[in-house]
Parts: sequence; structure tokens; C-alpha cells
Amino acid sequence: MAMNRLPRRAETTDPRGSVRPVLSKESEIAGAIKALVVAGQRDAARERFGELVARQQRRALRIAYQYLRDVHDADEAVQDAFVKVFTHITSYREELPFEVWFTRILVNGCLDLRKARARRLRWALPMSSQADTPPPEPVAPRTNAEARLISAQRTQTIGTAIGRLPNRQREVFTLCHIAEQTTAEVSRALGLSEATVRVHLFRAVRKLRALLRDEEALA
Amino acid sequence: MTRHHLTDTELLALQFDQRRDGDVHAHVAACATCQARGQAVTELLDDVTRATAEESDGLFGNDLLARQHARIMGRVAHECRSARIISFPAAPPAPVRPVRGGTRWVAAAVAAGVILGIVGEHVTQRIARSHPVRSFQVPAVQVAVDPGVTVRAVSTGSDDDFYGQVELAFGSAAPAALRPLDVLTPRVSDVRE
Repeated sequence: MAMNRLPRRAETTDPRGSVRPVLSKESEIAGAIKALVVAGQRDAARERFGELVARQQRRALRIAYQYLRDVHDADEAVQDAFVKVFTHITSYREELPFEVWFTRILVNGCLDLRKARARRLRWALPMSSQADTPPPEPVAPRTNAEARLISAQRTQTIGTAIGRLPNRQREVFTLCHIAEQTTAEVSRALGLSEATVRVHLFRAVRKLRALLRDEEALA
Repeated sequence: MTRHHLTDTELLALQFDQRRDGDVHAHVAACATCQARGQAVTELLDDVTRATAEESDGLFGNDLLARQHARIMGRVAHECRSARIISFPAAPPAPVRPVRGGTRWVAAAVAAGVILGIVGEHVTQRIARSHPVRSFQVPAVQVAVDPGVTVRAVSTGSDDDFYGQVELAFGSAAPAALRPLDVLTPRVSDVRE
């Protein structure tokens, strides 16, 4: 039974005997972009950067949307994160996976946006007295109406359950499960110890199971 | 098999943690109960993966991704544009060019023209005051109407008289002062008679 859900990253041993993960294609491209920028070839660097954006865009949107639950905010957060990556590419360390570095930038941006949104809402008049209801689902064109009809109920149930998780648990769960990062990478991204990340993750999954069980029992 | 069933925490750890010891894996391989429980967790997480991916992929279609890509590249191009270099300290001001002789003559001619214009206006006014304005007779107004209709022809005398009446009328707020104007204005009823 293949139980492990995390992508097992290939590892290599360097001449000094330390084990290092084999870098992904994204990491290679990021290293090349950095070299081009350092050499002053910014146009060539931009061309390579387009490739990097195309490879990471969808994953980035999934993560940002899980954090922000708003189409426009997620779009803004992803754009900002990519622009930051390019402007700070010289500080990227090639020996580390690009995805971890990028995810950290993205998550920090999402948290900032969420704080800004909370500040805005603090001054806005409440439209209804139902403060506990989850935020309305964003409206956007969908391509396959039939498929949406089939899975809408389940998707909504799971989305609601994830939305009910406490913030930290949701962050950890999103990074581990949706961004497909290891607990060690998440601990680096969030500045938590690995044990703490694991505790949050287990609690999140346990709570998710309980919530979904309750939903199914109600249904 | 001496090991007990896996706890929930251990089951979840199997899902996410890559560094479990071989004992746990060996137990799961041999224990049908733990396999079933592990399978349930796997299915749950698969459901979550599918649902979250479907949700966000449905919201962010290919066209939105293409537009976002273009916007990101546009912003990056803007950020990369080399900044304009401003010299510091600021460049010294351009030296003032000496006034040429030709420019002076033009200025003198303009000043002379202005003075001549003012003097000429004064002279013209003085001449006008010494000779009063000639008045002329306004011809009687003849209104072309139908043969059956009688129209009073109105003559206003000299211009001075007329303007005097108008000024008098406008100068005072009393309605009586407007009567001369009223008299001069033909009425519809008069025209129809």
C-alpha cells in the first residue's frame, strides 16, 4: 500500500558526503536566471523567467486561493510574488529548492494581504448580522458546467471544512498537502519547528475527518 | 506480530512523513485493519486534493492564466527598465546670453508705438468733445401689413431723445418710467385693428 503522499524528492550525495536533494527543473531555471541577471543580461533573464512563471503559476494560484478564498486577491498575491522573485533573484540560493523559496514569498504575501483585508473590514459596516457564515464563494466563469454539477456538492463540503480549520492548521495543511511540501520545508517556510508543523498537520487532518464525517451524517 | 495497531497519529504520519522507521511499514504491510484505516485516510486526502484542485482550476481558467502571465511579464519589464540618472549635485544653470543690439531696437519701436497710440487716443477724444455729435432723423417706420389692417407709424425723433428715454426708463425702477417705451412698442391688438 503506497501511503506516503508527499513527493519523495530525489537525493544526491556530494563529494563531501552530505546528502542533498536533486534540484528540480524550476530550481535549475531560477539558477540560470540569477546568473543572467548577475551578468547584466536582463532581457535574456526575463525570457527565462516567463518559462518559470508558466511552470509555477497554477500551483501558486492554488496555494494563494486556499489562503485568501478570493479570486482577485489570489491573482494579486501571485503576481506580486512573481515580481518579487524576479527583483530579488540575486538572493536566491541555488542549492535549495526554488519551490520552497517561492512558496515562502507567496505565503508571506498572502498573509500580508489577509491582514490588509482584515484592517479594511474592521472599518467597513457589516452587511449582515451572520458573522459566522463562511465568505461567499467567488463568482467566475467555469468551463465544464456538467462536471461542476457533479462535484459541486463534494467540493463545497470539503472547502467549507478546510475553511473551518484554525488558521495555523489550515496554513500547514495547505502547504503540506496542496503545495506538496515536506514538513521540513514547511517548518522553514513558516518559521516553526518541524515537530510543531507535524502537530498542526495531524490536528488539521483529524479535524477535517471529523468535520467531513459530520457533514456526511447530516446529509 | 507483536506490534499493536497504529494510532491515528501514526497513520497520519505515514501519509506525510518520509522518515518513518521500518517497523511501522512492516506492521502496515501485515495488518489488514491498519491497511484499511490507512486507506480511508488516503481516500479522504485524495478527495481533498481533487476538490481543492477542481475548485481553484475552475476559477482560474486558461485565459485568466494567460492574462496573468502577460501582466506579470509586463510588471517585470517595467521593474527592469533602467532608472533615469539624475546628476547630483544638479547641473549649473545655463549662462545668461548677452542682449543683442537688434533686440533693443525692437523693444524701443514697440514702446514708441504704445506711446503714440495713447497720445492719439487723447487727441481724438478732445476733438470729439469740441464738435458735438450730429443727430439724424430716424425715418418713420412703415410696417408692411395686410391692406385691411391699420398700423400706427411711429417716429422717435432724434437719437438723443430716444436714448434719453431709454436711459430714463432703465434708470428708475418705477413702472411709469417705462411707459414711453411701452407707447413706442406696437401691440398685437393695434396691429389687428
